[in-house]
Amino acid sequence: MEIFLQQLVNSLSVASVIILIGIGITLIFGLTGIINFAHGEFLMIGGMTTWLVVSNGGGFIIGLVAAVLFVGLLGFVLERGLFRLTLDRPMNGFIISLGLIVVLQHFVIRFWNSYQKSIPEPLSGVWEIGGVQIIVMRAVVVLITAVVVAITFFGISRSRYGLALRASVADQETASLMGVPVRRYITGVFIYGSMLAGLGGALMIALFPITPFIGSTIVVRGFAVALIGGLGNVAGAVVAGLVLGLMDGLSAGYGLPEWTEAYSFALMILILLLRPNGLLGGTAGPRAV
Amino acid sequence: MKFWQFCAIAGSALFAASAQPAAADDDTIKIGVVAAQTGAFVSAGNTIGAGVTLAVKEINDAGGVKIGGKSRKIQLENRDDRTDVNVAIAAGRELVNDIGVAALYGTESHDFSVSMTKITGPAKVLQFTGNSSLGAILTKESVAPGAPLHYTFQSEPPEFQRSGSTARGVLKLLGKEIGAPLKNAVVFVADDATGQYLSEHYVKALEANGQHVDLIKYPPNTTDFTPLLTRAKGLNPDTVHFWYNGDVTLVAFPQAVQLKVAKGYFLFGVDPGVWADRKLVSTAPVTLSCVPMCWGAPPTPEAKAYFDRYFAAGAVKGVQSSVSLLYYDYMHWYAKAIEESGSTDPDTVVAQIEKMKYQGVVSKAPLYFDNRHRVSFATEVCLVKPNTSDQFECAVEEPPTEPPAGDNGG
Amino acid sequence: MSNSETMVDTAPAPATPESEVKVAAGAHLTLVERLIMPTILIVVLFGLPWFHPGYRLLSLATSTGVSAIALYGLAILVGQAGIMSVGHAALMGVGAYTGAILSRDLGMNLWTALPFAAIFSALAAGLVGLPSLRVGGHHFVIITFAFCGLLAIVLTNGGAFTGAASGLDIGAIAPLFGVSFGKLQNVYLLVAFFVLASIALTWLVMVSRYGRTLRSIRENEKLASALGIDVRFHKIVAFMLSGAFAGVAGILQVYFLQHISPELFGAFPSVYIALMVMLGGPRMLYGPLAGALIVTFLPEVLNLDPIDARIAYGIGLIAVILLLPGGVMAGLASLYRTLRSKVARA
Repeated sequence: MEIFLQQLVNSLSVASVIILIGIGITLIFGLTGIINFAHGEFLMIGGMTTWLVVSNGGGFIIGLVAAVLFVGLLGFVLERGLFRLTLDRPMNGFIISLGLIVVLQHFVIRFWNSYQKSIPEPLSGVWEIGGVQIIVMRAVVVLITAVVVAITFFGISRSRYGLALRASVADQETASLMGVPVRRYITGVFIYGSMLAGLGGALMIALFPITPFIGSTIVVRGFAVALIGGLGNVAGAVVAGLVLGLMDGLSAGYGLPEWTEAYSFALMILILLLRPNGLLGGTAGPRAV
Repeated sequence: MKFWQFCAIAGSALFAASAQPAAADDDTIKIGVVAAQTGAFVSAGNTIGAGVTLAVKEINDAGGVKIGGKSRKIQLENRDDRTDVNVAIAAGRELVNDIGVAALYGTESHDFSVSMTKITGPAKVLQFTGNSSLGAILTKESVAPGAPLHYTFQSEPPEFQRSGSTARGVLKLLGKEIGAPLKNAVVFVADDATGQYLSEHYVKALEANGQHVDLIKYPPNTTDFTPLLTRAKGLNPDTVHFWYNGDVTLVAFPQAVQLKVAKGYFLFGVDPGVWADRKLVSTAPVTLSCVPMCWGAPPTPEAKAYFDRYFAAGAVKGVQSSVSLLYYDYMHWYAKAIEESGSTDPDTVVAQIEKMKYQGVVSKAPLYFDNRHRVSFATEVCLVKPNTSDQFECAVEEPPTEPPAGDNGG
Repeated sequence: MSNSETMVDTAPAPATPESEVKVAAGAHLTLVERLIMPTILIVVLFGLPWFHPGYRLLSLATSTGVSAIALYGLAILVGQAGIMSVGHAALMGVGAYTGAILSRDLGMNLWTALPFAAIFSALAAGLVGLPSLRVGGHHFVIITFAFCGLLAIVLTNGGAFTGAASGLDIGAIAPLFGVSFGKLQNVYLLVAFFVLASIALTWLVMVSRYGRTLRSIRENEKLASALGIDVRFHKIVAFMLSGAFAGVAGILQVYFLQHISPELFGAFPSVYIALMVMLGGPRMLYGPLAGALIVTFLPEVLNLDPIDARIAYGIGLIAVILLLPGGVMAGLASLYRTLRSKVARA
């Protein structure tokens, strides 16, 4: 029983990092049509920024804020400088993001070598409740994720900006005729998604060491979450993240661990086949070619 | 002359000019390294080139390799395989067939090494290659003269020996520190070629030392180990053993301590030097091991002197830096084999290496290759005193001479 | 079939698939101009070994050729039928493992196993293509990606049958008609032959009625279906054709490396295959070949410090796709057209 409860707690914390990445991807992919495979590298850069700040004597909070701001700025520059030019050809945006993976990874390796980086745990300590270990830093990560999810959800579904944004996804031309600055919205969403990746990176390095190669594994999970939940659908991403987290936890705990990744791939194929617009429905996404 | 004839001749002249094979130079012996300098294997790959480079520099500074009263310098060609098998094969082809190296060091990945032997073998180029999973294809028959792997040498010991040496050291140190008999062990290993191969032998080695062992294979991309560790905790282990990938091990281990999975831990391939550098501490007893000796706690003065030189030459202090020592030794050994046999003829040199005993830095006893071209040496294991980041107690246990029951030897 | 022609003819002029295929296949050019590219191609492709390129170049050229074969298969799917897939490495994997397992268990060599590799890959491709009947766009792309990831895991955990993570070993290519393949040069020429065959086959598809049918599906699936084209059938056939190319590439790869393992066929190699096709120009006859050459040789040309070279490579990739959004060959073709009309006017 303790072990089972522990697995549920684990799943929640596994889910929260995936959700942070997944929300960024679902917003960018679903609302702007940009397929940014380098989103995982954005997370890695966020983690490395935090590492740089902390190893130069700054506190973790400063490192986290720096990561969010820096990756947001990076997102701004790359959207304006690169992705904007490919909005009518999303597949070209995808290829540009592959080029970016190579550039960003090796830029980090060039200046700070390829070895694993870690910071001292910002909050050490473990609560023990009925034999279940609750790692304090992980609880904080779950809490931060919950807050971010809530802010994003209300921002998209309740605020004026969110309404205009959704309008411009539904019909770009009409929205821009009605005075919605569509292009600026796209930039805004891209920056916000990038900042979430920066935050994800900062929280990740607080949990475990990272290498410059971490991005690719994370981004695959992020896309899975975005598509399973429904593109552009924040609530969907949360549900999908929880489902994947739970499945990871339970399959690793009770199934054959070496097949863990296979389960999530299979689930992804199944859900996309049975419910092409994701569990909770989302935008259809742009055409593929 | 017609225009197209002119074009064809001009074109071929241009090509021929650009692809002139390097002029044969009798004064140097050419040696090649193929390893990852970029890409995911980079932390293992860098060490091969760095170790060989250091040895070559020492040999050349001392005047070169002496054959029959004449000295020949060594010319080292370093190639990056970018962790891409096609690039590795092209680099191997270039070194073996274009440049004509006499010996090749690398690569560190199983696939690359096996594909590379198909290039070095027919060209009679000696290949010193890592990755203990090669043990599966090196047999008495396949390394015999005229057989396909006659020129291939495995740089790491047969797995039953490394596993045996490590298991003895780990259980001895942890048993003493925990102060209670150790019975249950859980082994964590990556579900990839090296992991699948290694785990069989390490499980058998622990069983041979009286342990009941459960094996957990994790997908190679795992970052969050808590679900797997919780499963391990349910098995009530005394000790948890993380095998083979030092970087991943350092991701998993702190999570294990937080979840209180076991009484003691073993982290394969994590150098005490890295532990101290990163100021890591653990409340639970933890043992570390290195391939073959730890730069953070060198067991011999020779090893200490080696690592001082190695880092002074600009190498990075990484989890796997100690692996460089192997390639350093094999480079010196190869040069010595040439001097003793007085020839660079590959068959003569291989025959010489097969009968030699070479006193390197890697081990206290002289090294030699067995009849399957595998070498043998002990593995250093160090215990970190709980709650410290720089107090180690190390042991070098001799490897078993025979594989335990149920182990094919590796 | 005549319906699809009607539909195509009434489409607006600049964007019609027909004008595109004319450009891609060079139909608007004079006979001499049309023969230039194939001549250069054949001379360079088969003449390369006689220029003493060295083993490194020959080895890279061989692996480039192997990928090019798979790229042509993908280009039919992407360029003609308009279906993007990032699961092509998995289909190569099916061909490669078919070759390796048939050699191990039944003692078959490259020549006898080749048709089986093509057939099994085609069947697997048909299977992967099934979801495309229901799911479109990016969702389908991600499904192919997931299929690929899944296959790599199945191969890794396939025990002795697939050789697990260590993979399988295989002997050299058996002699054919007295030609031995012990020398790299002959392996290269064999691959070059298959590259040429792939290009010829792609050209046939492009100029045939079948190609027209595929393009009408690409341009407007609903319209094509309303005009009586069996869209579902043709999509699956396109997949199977594409898969057969990948199967041939796969078995050639295993015989070239003489060893294979699951990681060669995982999700990321697949992404790189898609990258090469998009970079070269999926709708152009020589696009896939150009894409393969750029991705393989660009890092070689930029042989600086390994890490700087990688950064330069990434920047080069981004620059190419920004400057030539239809792919390198489409860009070159339009450059040539511009120059040509200027010369004609002058």
